Amino acid sequence: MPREIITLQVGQCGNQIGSEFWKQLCLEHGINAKGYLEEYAIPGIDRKDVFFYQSDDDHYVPRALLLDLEPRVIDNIKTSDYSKIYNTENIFISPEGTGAGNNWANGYNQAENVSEAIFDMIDREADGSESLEGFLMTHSISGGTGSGMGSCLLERLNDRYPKKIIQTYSVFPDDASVVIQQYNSLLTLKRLISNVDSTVVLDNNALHRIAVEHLHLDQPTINQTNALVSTVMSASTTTLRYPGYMNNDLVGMLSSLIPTPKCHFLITGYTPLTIDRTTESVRKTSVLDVMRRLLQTQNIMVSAPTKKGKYISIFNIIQGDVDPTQIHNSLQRIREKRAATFIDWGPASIQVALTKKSPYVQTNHKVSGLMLANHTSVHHLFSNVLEQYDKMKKRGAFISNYTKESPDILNEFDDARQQLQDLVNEYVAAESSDYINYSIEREMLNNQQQQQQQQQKTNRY
Amino acid sequence: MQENINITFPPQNNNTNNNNNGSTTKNINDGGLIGSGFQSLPCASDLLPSLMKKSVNRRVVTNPQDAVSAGDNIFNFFPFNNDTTPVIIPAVAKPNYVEIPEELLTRDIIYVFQGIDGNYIKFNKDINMFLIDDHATLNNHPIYISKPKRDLISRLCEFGWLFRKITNFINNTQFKESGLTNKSLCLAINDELIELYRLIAILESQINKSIKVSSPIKANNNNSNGILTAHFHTGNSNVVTAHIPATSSTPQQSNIINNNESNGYNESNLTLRRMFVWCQEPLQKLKLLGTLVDAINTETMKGGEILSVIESLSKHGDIDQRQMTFSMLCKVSQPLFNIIKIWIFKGEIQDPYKEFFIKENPKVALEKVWREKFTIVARLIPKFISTTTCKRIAVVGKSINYMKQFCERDVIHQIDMEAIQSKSVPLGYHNIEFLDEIIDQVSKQSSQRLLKIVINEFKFMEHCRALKKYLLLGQGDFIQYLMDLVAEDLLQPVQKVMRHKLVGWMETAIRNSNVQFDKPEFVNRLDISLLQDRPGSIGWDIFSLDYHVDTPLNTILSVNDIVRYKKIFHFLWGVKRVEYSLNSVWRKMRSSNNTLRLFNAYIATEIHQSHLIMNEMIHFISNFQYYIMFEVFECCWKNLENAVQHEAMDLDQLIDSHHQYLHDICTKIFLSNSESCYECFKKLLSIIIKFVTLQNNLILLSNALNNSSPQQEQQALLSKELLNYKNHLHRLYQDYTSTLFKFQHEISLLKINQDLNPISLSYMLDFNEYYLNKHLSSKDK
Repeated sequence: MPREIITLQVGQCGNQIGSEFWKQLCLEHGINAKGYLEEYAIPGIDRKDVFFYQSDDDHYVPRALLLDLEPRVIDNIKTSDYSKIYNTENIFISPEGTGAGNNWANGYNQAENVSEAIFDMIDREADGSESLEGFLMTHSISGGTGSGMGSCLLERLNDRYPKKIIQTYSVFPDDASVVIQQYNSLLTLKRLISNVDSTVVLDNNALHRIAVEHLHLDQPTINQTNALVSTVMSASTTTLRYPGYMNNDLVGMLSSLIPTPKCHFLITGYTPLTIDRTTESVRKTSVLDVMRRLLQTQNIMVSAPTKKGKYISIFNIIQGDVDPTQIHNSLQRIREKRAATFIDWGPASIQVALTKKSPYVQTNHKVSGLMLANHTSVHHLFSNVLEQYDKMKKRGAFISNYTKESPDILNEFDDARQQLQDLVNEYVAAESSDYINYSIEREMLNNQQQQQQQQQKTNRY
Repeated sequence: MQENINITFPPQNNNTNNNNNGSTTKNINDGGLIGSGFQSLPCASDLLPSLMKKSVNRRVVTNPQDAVSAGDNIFNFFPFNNDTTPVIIPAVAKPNYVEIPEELLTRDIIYVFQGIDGNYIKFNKDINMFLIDDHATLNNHPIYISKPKRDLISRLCEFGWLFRKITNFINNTQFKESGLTNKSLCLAINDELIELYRLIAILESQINKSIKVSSPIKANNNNSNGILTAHFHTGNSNVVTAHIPATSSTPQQSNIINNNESNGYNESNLTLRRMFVWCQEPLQKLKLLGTLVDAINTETMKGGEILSVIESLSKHGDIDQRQMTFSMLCKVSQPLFNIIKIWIFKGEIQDPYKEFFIKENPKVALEKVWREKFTIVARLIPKFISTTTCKRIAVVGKSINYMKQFCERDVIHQIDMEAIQSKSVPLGYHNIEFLDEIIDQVSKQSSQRLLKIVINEFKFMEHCRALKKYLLLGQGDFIQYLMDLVAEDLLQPVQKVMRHKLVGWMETAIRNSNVQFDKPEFVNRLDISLLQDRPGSIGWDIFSLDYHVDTPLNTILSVNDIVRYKKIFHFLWGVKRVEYSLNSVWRKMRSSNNTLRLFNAYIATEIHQSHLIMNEMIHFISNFQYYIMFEVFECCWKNLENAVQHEAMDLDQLIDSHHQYLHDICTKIFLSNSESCYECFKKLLSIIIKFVTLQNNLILLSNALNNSSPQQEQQALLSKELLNYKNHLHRLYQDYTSTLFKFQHEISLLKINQDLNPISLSYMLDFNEYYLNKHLSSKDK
């Protein structure tokens, strides 16, 4: 069974990433902008039916839903070269078309109102697939639509399709954008913690850093960072699209990456990093080179100190022409050099998948590698959110924007904060060997005790 | 040569010389033969070991009664040219005895030379030697021959004895007619004998002439007590000298004779001693032939065996002997080389006498044509053809034969054309050093062409690749699809497993996976076969994919190979099943996260730990599969590709490298030679399956509870149930850990015992040294 994956592109950012992603997939599968197979495409080397289906006139249609509360981005897509590939029935723009105004609550509420229409679309797509593996959502956690509408959809997806995998590619905000993004992020993260099986963290800070430092772009545009994102997205799905001995489904991939339910935030690394995929620097790449480079912080797309903390798991997808017999030697070298620090409460290793490189995409580098890793240091991103949130909340800044939308939101904030704090605690706990006896209840007890002690202290004063 | 003529006669004149040569004489003398003069015969001829043995035996056979009754006048003439041969001195001559003139003796010797009885010297079959007939008379007088003459005669008789043996050999029709090699051996020996006939003829003509000229008369001989003497006409000396060069005598010899004549000493007489000189060189030849003849077992030996015997004699320091054996080998081996020629050019065996070292087994099943139709008979390989060359010869012919059977007409036509051209190819022992070169050339036409045909037209490698994709699970999406479809059916007991249903599923899986794009010539060979079941087994135990190979492919990919593939498939399929069930539990655990939370009051830590245990198991299974994929399949495949592309020179080597490929895979995944490892691994899998069941039950329980909040009495039941789970989980995990340690231990043992390299497996299974530390800390405790 093809194990289809339905992609939900939510909000401005989500749709931008999504359209780049589809462009990349079309290139890699030899599908032209109109959805037809190019003449040079060879059947049997790849699996297109995971992400596409064939319409009656044989052109390939992405299993994608384009959802937004404002028409701007989707209109752009509609007028772009690749406009023809999408199923027009799968495009949803809120009739009001006003957007969510960077307000999570607004997005969430609007989504609730239109969710029936959206789930009609989702159900139709799901019915059209033979053995649906799961959903893939692209969104930003800080805006209004991607976060609010995304959150709403995630909750309902989980209810509606409890047995399906839900994976998100979530863009984490950089420090310089919207002021109230931390509120949005916090509320969205709560859904990412409890309604999602796996989140791939796309850290705008890190993407920006990579663009500036490695690609020497002074002012990287959104398109340029999005190109990086689409590269990561397409690379992380190669094992699903090019069948091999292992890792042919999402579950198989995730199950070895994510041992415990909550710690499912994956960071990525990619090498060689290029934007337009035709850089002048041609490097000689061996398996060892690729794997070593993937562990270097400069290639890791997250603004967290990966030198600290520990790897819970690593999954390397290496694309291109490499000698499979070299893999073990390379792993051995990396192990000897102790290039990666692993957790010590369970077995962990670098897992490697070799996949074909698309024959239709010409690149200067023969080999490229993507790392998906579960690393404890990712909690720094969340701590950051918590910290900023706490500051804002203390001042009560912009709270009224949210209470205006939904009066109940303050409880929601508290709950979300608690959940995120639990997550941070769990990641911290996962750095110690005692994680094996970790339990949420105990943590909560500890927390309560601490709070009580603090209260007692304050009472004393 | 001068020294050779002056044979020393050992001065034995006593009857009691019983210790002459140690223990060998003792028995005979103790046997009451004192006075009969039997003496030991030291056999110093180390060149002729087999002959020596026989002669020793013969000595014992001598009939003592005859010796006694003949009045001590029977003498043995041992056919050895041995300077130390002791000769028994006869009793003192009595007056009425006549000494036979040398002329008569020489004539007798001429007869003896040809293996025929003379008047006085006759062959005794019982003891297998020429003897002087002491009952013979000359003019009614009993005969007397002097001791030195007897001695000379005994030496000359060796010639006759050998001659007789050899002619007997070549006249053995049964032997001669049982093989072309045999026949040509007899012919070659005959050729050599003809040379000797010439010598005999010359000698005879000498005697005839002298007898014609002067009839035997009584005369006194200077150096003997003989009564009769035959005179040679003095004028004949010219004749003698004139003929000598015609024989094989050397100039030196003729000089000797000339010297003798010029000394005026029995000038032109053909004396025994002259004969002795003349026959020295041919005698060497005869001895060699005698050895040869003795070494050949006429009952059993044929073809290459005979050639090997001849060849073994050619390793000799003596140039003459080397030359002679060489020319004989050239002649004798010709029939074999003819057979080889037909074989390597036409792929046929024309061998009516079964002499060829390749045997055709006519009743061989079609799929075994390549491997079993032609087999090498090791004993018939002549020693001058090495085993490797012999194998190559076999392959060349087999290839042609095979191509004629299975290939297109134009290929066969080409082969025929080449066979016609082959007539000019010089093949024989005389250019044996080019044999390998010729085979190199021919193998280009046959073995390598066949190899190309097998690879390009039979698509051998593509079939291997297809087998790797299907039976070795390389085509992941197909395997996944298939597993999804058949999983439920395979849980049934064997009796309820319907093959046709499974085949239907397989076809669905083919249609829906990328296998649909594979060429039908490969895909259509896919099938499902059910292995033999044991009582109580379920579908999983007997399910296997199958790959049909037909002729001519099954001559190369044999049924046994496919069985091996199926064995590997079965193993991998089992591992995949465990992987899938683990993954599905992983998924269920995720989706039941909320309902499982209900148990947090009881077993929060255990649920957390069960996640970690699951992680350990997933880690184990996936890393084991990485090991299989990279370390086993890819490495072995690379070796196979390398062997096929660069190393294999003929089909045999191709088949061998494929066998090696399968063997390597089996060894590396413990299917062969490492049972304890395999057992451990099996146990690990079964523990994981138990764990999966345990988790599934927990999830079922939580889902059941989710619908209705627990009542009071239910709660007690629930806590009991969960306590049960707790205990189970702990026990199971302990079991798992200890088995895993054992498995890792077994692997480390393998490292030492075998040349496979599970080191990569052991470090993959414990990349971050978690188990190592755990093991160490448990030891410390």
